[in-house]
Amino acid sequence: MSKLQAMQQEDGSIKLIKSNQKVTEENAKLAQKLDYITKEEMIEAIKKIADKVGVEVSFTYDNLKNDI
Amino acid sequence: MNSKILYDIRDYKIIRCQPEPKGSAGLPSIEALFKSARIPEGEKQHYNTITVDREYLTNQAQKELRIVGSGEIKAINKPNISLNINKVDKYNFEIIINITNTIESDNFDKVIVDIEGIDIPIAITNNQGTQSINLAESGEYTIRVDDNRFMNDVSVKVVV
Repeated sequence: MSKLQAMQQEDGSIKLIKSNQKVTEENAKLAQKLDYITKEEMIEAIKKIADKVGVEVSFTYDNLKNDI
Repeated sequence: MNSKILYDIRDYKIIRCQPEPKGSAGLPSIEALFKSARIPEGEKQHYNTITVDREYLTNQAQKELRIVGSGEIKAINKPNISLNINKVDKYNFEIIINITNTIESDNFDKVIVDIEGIDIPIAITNNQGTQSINLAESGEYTIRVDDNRFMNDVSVKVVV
């Protein structure tokens, strides 16, 4: 499938934009990246709260993430 | 040096072309062309030959020539096509098609232009056609026409 798709405009011109497949692929990559960032942020937030409450927490994620 | 073309009389498709060999052998016979093209006995009535005054092998003849005529049959060059891109602004362009070396009976109404795998039909009137396009994404685009009605293939790169 092409990375582009064509759309007929009212003025008779043809507009070429990213195809739905291309947009989906880009969004999937962004979502993966976002998922990774969100995990990091959540763990940081939980650590701060645990620190304030005086509770020790550790995450398997912290131990394994450097293996990625 | 001459060449002999074997063509299908039903659609004027060029099937085989063999040049005259050097020496005294002369042009190949129609039977020799039938044999080369593996035409079955029962099909031979659908084919005929024509001689041209240049050396061609089959691929070149099929690419460059066409058989035309109703009374007098001739092998002539196919028309030429040109592709020009006019930049209107950063994202907007005009594709301009011109067809030359046509004959009176030619009536081209459409040419398909390929832009990065997308087929864009361009209406042709009096052997010319124009299509405005908007290339919304930055990048390099190859715009080409690969149509065996014409002698040449054309390709232009556009950078947005």
